[in-house]
Amino acid sequence: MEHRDDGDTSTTTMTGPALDPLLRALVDASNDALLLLDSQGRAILINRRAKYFFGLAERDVIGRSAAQLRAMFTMIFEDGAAFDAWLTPLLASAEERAVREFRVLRAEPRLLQCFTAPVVDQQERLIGRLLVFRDITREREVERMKNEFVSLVSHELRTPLTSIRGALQLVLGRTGAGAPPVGATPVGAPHVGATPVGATHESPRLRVGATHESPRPSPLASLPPRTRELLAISLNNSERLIRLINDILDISKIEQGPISLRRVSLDPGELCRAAAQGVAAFASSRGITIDLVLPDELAPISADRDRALQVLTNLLSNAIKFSSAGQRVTLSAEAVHGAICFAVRDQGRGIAPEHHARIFERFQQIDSSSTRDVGGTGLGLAICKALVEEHGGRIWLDSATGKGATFAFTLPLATGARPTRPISLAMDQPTVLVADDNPIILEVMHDILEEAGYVVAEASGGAEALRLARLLQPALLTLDVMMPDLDGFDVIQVLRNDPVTRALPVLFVSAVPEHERGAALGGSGFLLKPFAPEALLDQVRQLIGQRVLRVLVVEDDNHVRPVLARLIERGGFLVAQAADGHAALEMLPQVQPNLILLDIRMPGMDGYEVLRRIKCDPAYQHIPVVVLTASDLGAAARQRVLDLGAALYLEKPIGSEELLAQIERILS
Amino acid sequence: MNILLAEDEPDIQLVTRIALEDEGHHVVVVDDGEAAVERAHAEPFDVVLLDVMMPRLDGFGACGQLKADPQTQHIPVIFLTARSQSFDVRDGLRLGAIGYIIKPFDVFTLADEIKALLTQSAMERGTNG
Repeated sequence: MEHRDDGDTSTTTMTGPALDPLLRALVDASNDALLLLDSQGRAILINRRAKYFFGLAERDVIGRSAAQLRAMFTMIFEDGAAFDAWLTPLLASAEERAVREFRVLRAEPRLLQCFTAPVVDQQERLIGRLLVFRDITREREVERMKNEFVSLVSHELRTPLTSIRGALQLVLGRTGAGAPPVGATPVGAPHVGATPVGATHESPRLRVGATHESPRPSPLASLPPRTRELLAISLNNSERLIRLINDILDISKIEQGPISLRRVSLDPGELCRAAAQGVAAFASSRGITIDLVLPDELAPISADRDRALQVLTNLLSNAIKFSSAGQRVTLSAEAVHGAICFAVRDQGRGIAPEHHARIFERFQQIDSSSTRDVGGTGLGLAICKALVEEHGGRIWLDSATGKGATFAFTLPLATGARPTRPISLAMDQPTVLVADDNPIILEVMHDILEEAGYVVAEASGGAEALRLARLLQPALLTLDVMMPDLDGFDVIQVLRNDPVTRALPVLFVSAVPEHERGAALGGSGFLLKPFAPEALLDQVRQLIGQRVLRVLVVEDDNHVRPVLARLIERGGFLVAQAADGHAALEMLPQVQPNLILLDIRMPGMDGYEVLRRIKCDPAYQHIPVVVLTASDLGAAARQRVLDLGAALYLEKPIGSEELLAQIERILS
Repeated sequence: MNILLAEDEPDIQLVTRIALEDEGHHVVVVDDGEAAVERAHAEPFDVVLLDVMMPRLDGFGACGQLKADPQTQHIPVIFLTARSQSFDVRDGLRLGAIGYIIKPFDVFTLADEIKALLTQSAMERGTNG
């Protein structure tokens, strides 16, 4: 066993019996299954655990050809073909390591985490490959049980809490307690009436103060003050418990994998107003004033409304909790490059810099004495961070002891919107992100694309391209292949593995014709340098198939209109709203809708007249108009609107699916 | 509104009833899904609120029966439930419910939330506007 033919890599240099007994004992003692292959893919070592996992004896494995071994693996793993496809290309690599999970077919199936790394000799020559299999069946089972348990406990706790909170609320009346708002909108509930419609012009500083509800007289208004106080403590703490349960459920969901987001195009200003309204009662109960600082116009963001509201509400509640009576909390939103930056600023005691790094971790409360009276769960900021990052944004803290704190985060703009212009005014052309390390080429491409009407963003390297692609979510990325920091082929691999950028069309631009490699990595097109401007524009036009389409909803009913708008937004459209015919006509030049959804019965100018005027105007007569009206207008109405040039006449009732399908059909 | 509430927890029954009656609504309370289906046949309701987990017949079962019967299928159904996982929501909406309100709910906004769900549903069914 002492003999080792150094350098001989082709034959059985390390067969089982030749191994030192001490080493053999160590290898067999491992709880992980080990399998060592030589450079030809033949097994030269298998440990006891591997034999047990795979149900094989040493003689089944050692000395078999690579083909026999592969055939054996195909039988052992549930998806043998996938295992083979995973391992085979790795065999020849002297560098690549990989980890993946495979299930073993046995009477009692096990889930194995397979790790593989190359084995090299002292001269760095490849002599084989090591495979390590770890049984993670139990680990997964425990995770699943934990999540199930959390969900079950949450349910069981909610039932008694419903009675406790409800009863206390009824006793104390509307003004009974000032706790942070609990929970967001219930699932399935519409956001009716939350959006002021049309071009509302808020003054830049809007103050949100007292509660908007009419005070409900408490049935026990004559409670002795002491009793009232004690009941209020009970109510506040029941609400704290509810928040804790909600947070634990959220954290549990976040741990289970990416949170699914229902992204729509949202007005950042409206979002801020809704969040401020939500915490208004809590703020006024603690004597805090909330200031809203919003520019007149902000471009729409692409975000899940409930989740974005949850982040804002959480940061506002925190700021209120850490403020003293008489202080102010400011919520602001502003456009930054490719995103909207939201900031919540307080005048509280601030947070020392040494705590900043840990503050977004779960169950981190900097000063337990200060949180006891305000009832934090210690999970809120961890949840905020996970939600913001899932959107492709980032969150940070700016604070010093005694100076107040500002929590800020970004959410990406909706695709195709101009970074500096709001939805109602945007002729939103798609954004093209151009990545090239050569400044002259950047400038040339920028000019060509901008002249053609695209919004252009520039990245001067691979890393910047990745960052901006995530932040801007452009309609197209043109990607230079040879860049010093990260080359284009590296960049696209990262993009394709990121849920935010997975579907982003990528046009490779290179002086070297590597069309096939580009396509294999998920490139959508390939343009050879040098190129004519027309060739670039042709490719860009072709690749930006999915433009963001705008729908103008014209409807006088204040309840129906926002519901319609949300419904259409769910289909991925940008929606502008008009409350009457005159407003609709005035909005046309700015909104430039791709489709108009028109009600017929409206006060002032009715739908027939709006339709007639649109179809008489050469600038707008091409826009398809869908008339959606109550069913009692009769057959004559249908004929009349179709004669006037409407694309389609729809009668309520109509399901949301059908309405979206009709809109998509007309626009396709 | 004339509201039918099916809920097996007496405490929640009482709190919900007071909350809705204080807003001027008429509330009939039953203990399980079977009783809810029976009652819905006996008198007209503007909306049925169903707890999900109930003895004898659960909320999903009751919703299914109400929607299968021409006599009751027009009554809007809203689930009141402590469940908050998304698969529950889909199950409920597939059965024809117009929405969900998650427990613990705010007693002061409960009536408004019910009205908001009814408005949205009416819009889609074309009885409004």
